[in-house]
Amino acid sequence: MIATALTDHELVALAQKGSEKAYRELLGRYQRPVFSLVYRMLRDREQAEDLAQETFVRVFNNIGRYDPKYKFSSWIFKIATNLTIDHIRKKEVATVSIDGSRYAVTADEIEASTITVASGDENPEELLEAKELGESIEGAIGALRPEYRTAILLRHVEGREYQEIADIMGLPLGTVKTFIHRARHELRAKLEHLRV
Amino acid sequence: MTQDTAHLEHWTLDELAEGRLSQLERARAESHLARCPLCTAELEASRAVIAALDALPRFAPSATFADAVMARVLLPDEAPAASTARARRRWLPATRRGWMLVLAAALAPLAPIVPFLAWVFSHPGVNASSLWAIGRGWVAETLWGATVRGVEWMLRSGAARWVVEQGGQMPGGYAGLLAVVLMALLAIPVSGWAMVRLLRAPTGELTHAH
Repeated sequence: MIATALTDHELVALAQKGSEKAYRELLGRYQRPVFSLVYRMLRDREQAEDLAQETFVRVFNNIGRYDPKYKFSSWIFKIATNLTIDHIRKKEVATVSIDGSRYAVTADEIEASTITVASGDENPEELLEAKELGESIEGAIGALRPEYRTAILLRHVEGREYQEIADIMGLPLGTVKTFIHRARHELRAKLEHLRV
Repeated sequence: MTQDTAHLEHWTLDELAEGRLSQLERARAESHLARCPLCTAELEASRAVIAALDALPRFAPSATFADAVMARVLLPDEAPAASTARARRRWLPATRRGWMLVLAAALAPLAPIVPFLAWVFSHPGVNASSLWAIGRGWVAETLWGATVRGVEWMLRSGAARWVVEQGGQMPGGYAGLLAVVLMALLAIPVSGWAMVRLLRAPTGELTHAH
């Protein structure tokens, strides 16, 4: 059995030798972060699943080219963000409202492309408030420029350092700081009515 | 902060809100905040946005996600076979038209043979069995002639005598000579088999972690 205490680098080394368990452990570690990032970028569950799968397939089928000088997380997020931003540019995926993708037509499509924020809070009023806040934030994030969205999600949902975000996005550190600052500023303006 | 009377720069507020300022910078910023309600309000607003963003949950993909990925992954020990197959496919035609061209190119050298065979079979008494009999006779005659000439050369040149003399001096006498000849004959197929195994073996040992 693969110990979960192994580092990403150690798992990659095992994967390079053909260990399927090492691949599955890496999948277990990164499937939620990668899927969450892509899903919040696209707001479409089906497309997000496809692109997240494509990210892992590309990473795993090129595992021999992995350079251990860099973090594995940086590599996989870089591929995920590049694929997603390319997809957005090609398909002109909308910066959609919380009601789902503008391409959604049927009730099922609307539901699939609507992000619903769950809360563990049991108080109905607080639950409603948290749900409203969460959905407003998701909607506001969805309305940001794709580059701002990527930077803000990597920083706050994935907890990545500024330098790692710069590596992932292939941008200078100062540009990333500016993106994150502007993204927060836009979010503040959009969420003013909720007194965030 | 550019000077004592100016407001805090947005970089400073960002870093303060995220707790990334050094102790000295934070002390300076806090001293300004103590007498600036505008910067204090800005800081609180930044902290509120950051707190809301940090509380966002992660989403899970479908339950079949991992299996769907693994079904498309080429594990390293599969890769050589796949790459060989890909390399082979690269040299093969992809369309029916391509295959027809390859077939035409392969058959082109046979084109002059067809009229020649037609001319041969046009002679009375010439058919497939008569040609087979002629060919078989020619091969048998050639092989017999080569064997006779080889034996003649061995006897005339003294090579046969030399072999017999050397065989007598070997340990074990003529039995030893026979053993050496048999071993040499056996070594030919064995070395061929070993060569084939070596060429087919993978270049690196792949180990699997369990």
